[in-house]
Amino acid sequence: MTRRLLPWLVLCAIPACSSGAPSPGLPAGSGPAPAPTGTGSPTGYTSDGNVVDDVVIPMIEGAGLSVVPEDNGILCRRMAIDLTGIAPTPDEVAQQCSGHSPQDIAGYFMNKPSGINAPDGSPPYVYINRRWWADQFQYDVAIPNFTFTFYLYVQALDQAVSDLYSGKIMYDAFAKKALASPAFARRFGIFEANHDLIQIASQAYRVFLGREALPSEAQDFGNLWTAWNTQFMNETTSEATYGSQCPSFTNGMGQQNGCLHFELGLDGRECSGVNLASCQSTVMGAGQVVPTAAGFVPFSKLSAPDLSALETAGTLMAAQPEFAEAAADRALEKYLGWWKAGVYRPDYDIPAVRDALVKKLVGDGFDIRKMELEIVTSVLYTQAAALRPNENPNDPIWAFGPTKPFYAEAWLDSIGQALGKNLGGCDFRYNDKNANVVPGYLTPHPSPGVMGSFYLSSAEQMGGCPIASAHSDATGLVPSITRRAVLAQLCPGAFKPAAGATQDAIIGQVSAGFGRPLTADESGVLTSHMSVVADQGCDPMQMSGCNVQALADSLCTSLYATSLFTFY
Amino acid sequence: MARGNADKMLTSRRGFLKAAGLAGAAGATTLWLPKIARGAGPSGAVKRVIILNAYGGIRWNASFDAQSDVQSNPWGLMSWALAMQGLPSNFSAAPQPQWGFSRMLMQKPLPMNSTNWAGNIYPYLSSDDAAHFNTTRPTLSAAWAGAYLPTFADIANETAVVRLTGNPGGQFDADHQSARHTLYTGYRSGQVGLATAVQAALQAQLGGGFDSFYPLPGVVTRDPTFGFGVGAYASARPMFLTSAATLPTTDPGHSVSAWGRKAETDLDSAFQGTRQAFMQQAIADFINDKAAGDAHVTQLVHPSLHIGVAPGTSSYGTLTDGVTPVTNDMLSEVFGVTSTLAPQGDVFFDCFAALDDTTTPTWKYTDNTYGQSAAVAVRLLQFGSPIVTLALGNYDSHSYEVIDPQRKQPQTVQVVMLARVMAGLEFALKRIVDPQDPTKSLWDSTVIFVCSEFGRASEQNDVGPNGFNSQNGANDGGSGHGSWCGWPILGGPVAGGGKLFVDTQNDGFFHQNRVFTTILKAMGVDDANSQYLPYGQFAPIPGLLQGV
Repeated sequence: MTRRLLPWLVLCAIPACSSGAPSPGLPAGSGPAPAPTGTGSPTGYTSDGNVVDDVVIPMIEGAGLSVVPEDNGILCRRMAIDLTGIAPTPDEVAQQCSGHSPQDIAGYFMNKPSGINAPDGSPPYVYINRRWWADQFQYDVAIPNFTFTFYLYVQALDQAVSDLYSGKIMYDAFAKKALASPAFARRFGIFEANHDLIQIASQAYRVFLGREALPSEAQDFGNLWTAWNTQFMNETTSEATYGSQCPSFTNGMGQQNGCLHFELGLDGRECSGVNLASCQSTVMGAGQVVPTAAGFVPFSKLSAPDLSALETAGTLMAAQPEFAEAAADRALEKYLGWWKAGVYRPDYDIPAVRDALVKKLVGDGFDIRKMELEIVTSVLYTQAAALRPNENPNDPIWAFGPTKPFYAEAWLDSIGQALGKNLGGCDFRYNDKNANVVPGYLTPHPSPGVMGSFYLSSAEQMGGCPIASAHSDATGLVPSITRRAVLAQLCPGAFKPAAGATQDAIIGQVSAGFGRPLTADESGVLTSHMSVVADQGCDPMQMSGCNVQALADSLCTSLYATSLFTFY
Repeated sequence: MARGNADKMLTSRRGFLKAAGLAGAAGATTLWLPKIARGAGPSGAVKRVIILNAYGGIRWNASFDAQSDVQSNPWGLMSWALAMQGLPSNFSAAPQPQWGFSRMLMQKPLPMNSTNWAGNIYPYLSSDDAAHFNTTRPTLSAAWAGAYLPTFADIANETAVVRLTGNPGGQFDADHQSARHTLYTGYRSGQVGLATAVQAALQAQLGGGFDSFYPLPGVVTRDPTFGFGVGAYASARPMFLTSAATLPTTDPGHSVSAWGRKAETDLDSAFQGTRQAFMQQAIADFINDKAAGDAHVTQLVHPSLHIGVAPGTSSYGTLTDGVTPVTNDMLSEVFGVTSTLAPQGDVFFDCFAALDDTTTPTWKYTDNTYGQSAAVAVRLLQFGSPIVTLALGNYDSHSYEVIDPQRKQPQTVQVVMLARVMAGLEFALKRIVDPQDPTKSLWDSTVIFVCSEFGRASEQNDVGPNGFNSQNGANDGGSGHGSWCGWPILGGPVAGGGKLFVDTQNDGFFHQNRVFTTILKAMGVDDANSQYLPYGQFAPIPGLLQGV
């Protein structure tokens, strides 16, 4: 018996198996997403040229299992959240997912031009990856004395991330830009008083090779940042460069000091004479960063040869086999959740999958979008996550689709969308949480929205916003209480059932923003409990009688707090 | 395809939750229902634990297990006469402890704009000039009856030091992540956090009495690994807070109707039951966190736990006189959490003066995470937690060990703040009544110890002849990772105060897990109930704690 060939009616005989009869007011699910067609495996499921499938399908079948495509509605929600950071709207479920193949659905979400959760107008796929990379580059850490230029540097590096996910530059070129950027150098070790080159090199290893550097490696590779230096810019020199961008700050003495700041650049003195060796690295191959000018030159005024030399670190790293492997691992971790989940949980990975993706990434000229598309259209991602009757929970995890918890911003954005609220947002680039301290100077934070600091404080409690060096997965007691508090504040009155609305109508109305149709079983659970309340004539929690509004409010606070909603 | 035994795998928590019924789980160990009740509790002297996690690799042999050779400890040992100077008339001079008491522990840190390594900085560090040290015993306010706050020297003889590593006699894990995993779970591939293991052992020992004696579960802050729990240990997981300052402020408990909660429970249970084992566990964790949150939110939003947020007059519990309420302002004073509440002469003034390059430092609650965390820890013990882990500072000081103008995390400041917090804990716990036994103080049954994933031993890294790896001052000094650790442990049940505990093998280094088994045994936990840390494998250390 194969998973795929099971009749759909049989598949839907268990809870949490989506589709079948949709809830009222929701577009109908369409059963399993259409599988790729073609010749191939004994189960009838084909890889259709997907390099991950070429590895995984034989593994699944070799284990005596079979591939079961995910329900269309569930897959739609999974892709929407992973690729755009927010659950799909009912219209998207109906028009972009229902009846469409995984390739079509992924293509839609990866190319969606805008979204309410990407407040600066970026395509959501680009926006959430910018946020994801902000964790790697740790923009949010406060940098005394450097705020002005650091934010400009951050904006430039953030733009490079945007270019990467827009397909304008490839991953190897991105690495060169990132490691040559003043934002990276400043954040990880070029301070005005001391330079910590080992720390810079170590972070470069973590980000682009996916591992800790050995002490000797960090010592050597850090030499490529020796030439960096800082220079204090006074008001005159700053305003000559930045003009009206300089803010009108005044200090305690009433003096304007808006543009006093440090700036990064290259300093030829760091590499002159006997210092030359300290600007050269050999650990990944010969390379050096030796400035052409004798003194300090700000980054914004570096010559083309200097800018080219700065790309040495990225060039050397991109030539390492680990470079593509780390990229593949990171993408698999992002989309599967369980990939290399660490020593706490079984350390899942499939070396052959990594190898296949590495070949594809290199073969595609380091096109990160193509690699991610390959992952999210593979069986590792598109097969059913739910167990079927007679299946063993201890079967290999690669025989099931992923189930992951929301991260903070995605949960909040999806809740806001579902409940029809504008919750605002926060800017992942800046640690100045309280927003526009310098109007017209820093890029303003997206509007905090009608709820004031509600979004920011809630997201922080759940491990996000702006960032905390790495988003946590919103588990734990405080995130749980925070989710309850958010719903307690937002749910009352969010849905306004018509007088005399039936239970089904209320369920349909409240669950419309769930991101997929509820199954008949799921709706049945809700109906059964609501009926008990109605039979009792009042609500046990002494809400204001058993009116439809009280039922809708109560349903909202419970339904959106379930694992059913919080995991996808 | 073989039918799996889905009902048995990895679902002890789920099974428990189902059995407990979530909505009416009185007596259920997982839910930690808040109660005001007094159970028998542990039979041993120890009933509560505070772990101060000085993560990053503190330089033990230059602080709490200080050596006299310059390479290990460039600061040198503290003159005990100097440590005892300025003693108030009603103070008795504390005997000098057996373990090495470094100058660093009481030295006023140098400002972060200090320069001239050879001519200024290094001579300052290794000097006995009394002006370089803060030996003030600040006088506290009338709320504390004008008591003196002790220095760390005053409590040194109540503090034992245990020399240990994560793997004595074996390979040294020199990277932070691996070493931390061992520190937090007890094993290189451990899957259970040691805070979880302590709770699990207590649960096994006390049975149904556990919940009544400990109305609030243990709390793990910052790094959740101390609270990992899978399989049978899942039901013993502590609560996790990202920091002591991130407690919930809103009680949403009454927003969910009874029928809605039942529906939620049914949907959660059904969803969990359809997942593969790996995700079943994640969803079980989610369900457990939600249930614990619902059960304990009333306690967690209590204003007395919100040091720095709620009015300073918020209070919980009393002093040992049974009358004087313990207010937030009183704890803020003892732990110096703001410059306005810190007592005159408090060493925190020296620390923040050094960090901010000023002679008139000011700081607020969120600036002093050390003090705020310690104050919250005291509150959590009052509320009934058996174990609290705090993450204090970051001691990963390869460079900038002495002068750190950017990160503001030099060991010279952080070690002083750590010692200050320990003295504050001693003072506060001795004066606050044990909520389970009004005849005793919390100090009588609490053990506190400091840990870190490793240390900075001179023989395992590249320190120069003067004990720093950048003797020319280019990096302002620092040192690499080393396996040597010397954990200070204090509290009422400490029997070996002032002593240095060394093993008879492995060059004197105990296994770190033996500190935990020592505590468990001192709690009265039988070997059979400490399955994760068997006493046969990690023998309790004789003489360290009462009853061991």
